[in-house]
Amino acid sequence: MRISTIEGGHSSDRGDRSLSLCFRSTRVHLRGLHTRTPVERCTDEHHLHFSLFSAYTQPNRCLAMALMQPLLADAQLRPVGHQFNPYSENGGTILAIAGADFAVIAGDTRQTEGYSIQTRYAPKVFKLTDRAVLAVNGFQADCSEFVKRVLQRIEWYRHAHSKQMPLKAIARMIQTMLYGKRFFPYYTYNILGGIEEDGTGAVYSFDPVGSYEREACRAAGAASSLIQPFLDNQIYFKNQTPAPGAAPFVPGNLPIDVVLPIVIDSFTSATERHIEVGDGLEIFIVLAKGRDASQLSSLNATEIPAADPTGERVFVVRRDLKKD
Amino acid sequence: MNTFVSRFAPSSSVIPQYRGALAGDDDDEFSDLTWGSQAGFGNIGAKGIPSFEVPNLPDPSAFLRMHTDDYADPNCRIKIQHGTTTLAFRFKGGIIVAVDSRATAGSYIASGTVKKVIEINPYLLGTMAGGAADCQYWETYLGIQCRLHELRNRERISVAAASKYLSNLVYSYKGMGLSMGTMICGWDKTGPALFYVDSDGTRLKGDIFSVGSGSTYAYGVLDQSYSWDLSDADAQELGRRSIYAAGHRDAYSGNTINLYHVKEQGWEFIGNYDVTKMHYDGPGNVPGATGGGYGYDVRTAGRSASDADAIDTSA
Repeated sequence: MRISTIEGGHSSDRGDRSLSLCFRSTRVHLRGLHTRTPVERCTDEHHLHFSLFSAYTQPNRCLAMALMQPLLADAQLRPVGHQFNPYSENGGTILAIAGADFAVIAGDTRQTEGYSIQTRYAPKVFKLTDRAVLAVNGFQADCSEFVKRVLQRIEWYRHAHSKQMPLKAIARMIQTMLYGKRFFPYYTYNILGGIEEDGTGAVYSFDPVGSYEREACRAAGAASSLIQPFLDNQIYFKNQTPAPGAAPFVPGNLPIDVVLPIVIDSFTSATERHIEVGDGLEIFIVLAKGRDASQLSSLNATEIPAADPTGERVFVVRRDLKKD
Repeated sequence: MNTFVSRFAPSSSVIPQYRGALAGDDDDEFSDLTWGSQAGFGNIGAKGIPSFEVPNLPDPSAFLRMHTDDYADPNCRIKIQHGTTTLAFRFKGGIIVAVDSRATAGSYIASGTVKKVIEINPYLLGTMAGGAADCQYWETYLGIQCRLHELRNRERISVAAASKYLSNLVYSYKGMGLSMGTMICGWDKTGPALFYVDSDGTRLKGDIFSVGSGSTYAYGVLDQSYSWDLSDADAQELGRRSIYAAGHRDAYSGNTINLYHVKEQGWEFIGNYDVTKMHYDGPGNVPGATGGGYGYDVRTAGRSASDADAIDTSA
């Protein structure tokens, strides 16, 4: 973390007790004035959050505070640095895999902050339309706000055009919505999965400021570096050679009964080796129009009612992951 | 709100006034028209310039740097993808554009399948180096403006004008933290035209450019064999071979090569080539291929120091 403003100051204790307390907790001592010096991370997150809350509710006052009234610096005259840190990291992992006529989008349900588990059920995967599912990961507050706004824009589209928004249009809209906050980014990694207008399964992955790409599979979040190499091997057949005489591998054409065990194994393995992953697993499965759903029956999948029952269908499978 | 930002903005971050609504509450910027769609560019306000939310801070760009600059601080949370080799050169047959496909976040390879050539329209290509989102977004936006130019003036925009549009646009955001190094390639009334545009505001016309962490390696190969009179096949091979060299020596570049050729009738996608396959087997049976891999192991077989048989142990 780095210091964004550097202010000289002398002692004075004034104003709201809790506000000055919160500023004291985020205060850092500099080794030299006018230098950008790395500092230790604030250990008291609650006070930090309180100050952020105040920044939103009392913008003028807090701006004045941010511009820095002189504060007591342990009875010493020292420069005081402050920073605006509206972000947190809430762990968890998401992934999505596209098939020829289906898409699977999954996420664990654990939410953490630091080493503590805040909840064991915080959904990260959301159905947007009958053929689009969005998984979000990163900072939970930004994620839920972002999903809310995406859903609103999708509803506006439906009112304006009397049809559901196509997947590729949702993808482009997510790009512009993320880029609209280029200078104050959402801390969200998004993966969009679903069925395109031509009936093929698709996965779009985004970075926090909106660059995106259509892919066959993608993992994001805390355990992405554990899961992505596994998917590269199993889905893209990276570093695999077909047996002599066998048919060559064709990426992106795996059947659903091969893909689902890969998804489940990815999460059970990530749970074993990553502290921020576990508790529960939600797997959304989007099936193209008219596709047979019998392969899902063994997994206890429940169907989410569709606006158009003759079109694409969305199923969800909920499973337990280890809770320690 | 905009007066608010400019009042507290330090002189280091220039925030032009005309950008208008730097809206805090972004619902304000949706006109009734936005209820439908505007090709996804719903945040483009009435003046045709997108508006962006900026944090309520004395120095917004320092805030952005703090949270996104992984060169300064590898522990920063928001990782923007970096690392690249891109090249483009002009010759008698048009313009060759060749890029790698690796995106890195710190030392992690975030993607090996990035499309770093952005197809602005059938006659214009842009390359991507620096922030992936900055390049994708602004070159798409440039595509919109080029189409509007076509409709208004009943002729295609020149490459010079298109690149200047982009250059002026990113210059207006100077100091805000945009990061892009791009080559705008196209064919207009003047023939093949190539411009380098970056987020500092530099705009250069030229025959050969390479941008990115692997550009020095690419230039090494490119400069050695470049000539205006190259045949189409040889020019394409030179593009492939140059990016291969960068992919081989630069850790931040690699995976696959995308090759495009800009011709009088518009651009043409030539192919996608795996860098590792190029090393051992070469690009395959394509025009310009010399046959065999680019790696020098085939030329040193039996005589290399790493070849146990070749080491003279008699002394």
